[in-house]
Amino acid sequence: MLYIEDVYIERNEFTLKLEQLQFSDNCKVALLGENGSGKTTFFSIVTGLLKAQRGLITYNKKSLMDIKTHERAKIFAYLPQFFHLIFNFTVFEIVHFGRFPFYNKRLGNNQQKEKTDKVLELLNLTKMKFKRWSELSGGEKQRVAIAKTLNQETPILYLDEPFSMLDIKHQIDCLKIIQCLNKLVILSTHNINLIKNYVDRFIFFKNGNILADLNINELNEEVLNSTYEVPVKRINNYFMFS
Amino acid sequence: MKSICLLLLIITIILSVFFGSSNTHLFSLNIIDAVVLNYRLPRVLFSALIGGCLGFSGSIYQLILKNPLADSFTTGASGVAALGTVISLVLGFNFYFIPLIAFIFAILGIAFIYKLSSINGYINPVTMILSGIVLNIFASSLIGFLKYFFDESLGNIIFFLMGGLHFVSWTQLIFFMLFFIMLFLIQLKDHYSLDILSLDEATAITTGVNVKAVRMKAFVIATLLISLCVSFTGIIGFIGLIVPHISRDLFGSAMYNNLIYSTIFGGILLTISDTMSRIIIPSGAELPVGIITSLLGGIFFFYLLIRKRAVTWF
Repeated sequence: MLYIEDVYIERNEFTLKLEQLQFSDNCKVALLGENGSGKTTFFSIVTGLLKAQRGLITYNKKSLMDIKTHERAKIFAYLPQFFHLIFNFTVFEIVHFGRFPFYNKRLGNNQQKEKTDKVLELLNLTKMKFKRWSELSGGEKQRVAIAKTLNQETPILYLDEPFSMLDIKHQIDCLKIIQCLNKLVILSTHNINLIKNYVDRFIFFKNGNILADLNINELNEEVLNSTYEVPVKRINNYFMFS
Repeated sequence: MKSICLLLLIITIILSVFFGSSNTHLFSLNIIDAVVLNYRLPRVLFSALIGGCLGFSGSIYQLILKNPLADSFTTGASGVAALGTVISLVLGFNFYFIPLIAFIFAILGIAFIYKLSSINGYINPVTMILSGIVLNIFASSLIGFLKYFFDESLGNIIFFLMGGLHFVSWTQLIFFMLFFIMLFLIQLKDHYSLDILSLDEATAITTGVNVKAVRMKAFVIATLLISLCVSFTGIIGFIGLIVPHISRDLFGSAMYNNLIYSTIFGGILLTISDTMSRIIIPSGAELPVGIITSLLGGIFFFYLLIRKRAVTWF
């Protein structure tokens, strides 16, 4: 369980304020908002990559500050918006990086590799297992990055625009996988129409504040209108922006 | 495969012992004469060791600076270490302090380059190489100034700076070798963390690696070895640049392999280069080995820029 209270951070003329937020296990959450509204900063704060000027972040009632880097990697996995890699590692090697937090445990090396193989299978990457990073297309790279994040086997996943390069088929495939996970998943996206069938909770950001925190039934045009500042109409349960 | 490459290194070392300004014939009776045992053998072993150090440090630099064109030369580390060496020579420091001063200069230099070229953990590769090269030029200008200023006392500085493997004693050789093996093993233990460092900063940290600590440790180890090399042999360019790429092409990107093969290939390359520098001029005069490695390295550098631009540059 993730709990956030009274978090405040100010940097580069941008401030993010989070009053009180609670995320229960297994919940699927979408973060929405225009560019620069605070979604990525939210991820940086809850992962501890950025330190807030004040506020409290706890995982299962334990403060983030008291959890060491190595332990954090067993609680949450984070896929940043710009996942980036130098040198031509193979797909298998990259996905296997996700096993790093468990490397010191005396779980046999082969068992670790089997886990990586399973994740590759799950994301339909097995046939490109030995391909190198530079040979992959943008979408394939993104799926490899998602596989690496999943392979960390953490109870919490943070995904920052994980599907920005994926075609619609793979977006749906990934969302179906995510929907079935026994994990708390928080992801940011711009595609409300696609995401709304797969998540339980929608958090709207506006200028570093939380504008609304809704469930699927509460979703409405007004919120989208004030989030994106474009006219929105609802047609057949789809939101049309014009 | 590792044992085959190691064997290759050993063969190179053995063959190199028999080539030189006075050729020793393989099957002549006085094989174990004093020249070979006291001069040539330690020199050949020393060139293998220095080459290994350079390849090993190059592999580390390329990874932690996230730049395929990084090595001790292009980051300015060796230039600054040379400056430190020259300053300590000028000031007449004790022999044992020279590597230490070289190290202090080099670590400050590379920290400076790192700070200049990174924003929030993302290193701009162009800024890095640019500032590294400028630092190198700056350091060599200062060295040039010192050379003119203290003209007479530094007669062999030019040769030193071109890179040359001079006389080393067996004691120096053995101490250096043990020191290298120790640092090599310490760093090799971290190979999995080093792999993770090839990911972007945010991913690496959330994968559970203490990025700052691992990077700092690797920086110190690589720079220690570079300073030690420079204080003994001057600047020997490009080995640290070429060799990790060859290893990566042949044996993949995983750092466990890259560290080992970069060391072995570095040793082979410098041993061959040094042997060439000893025999290339028929009259028996010696070329500074830096000339040969830089020639070979320069060609490879252009190959990298032309052939692999689309893949490795980003």
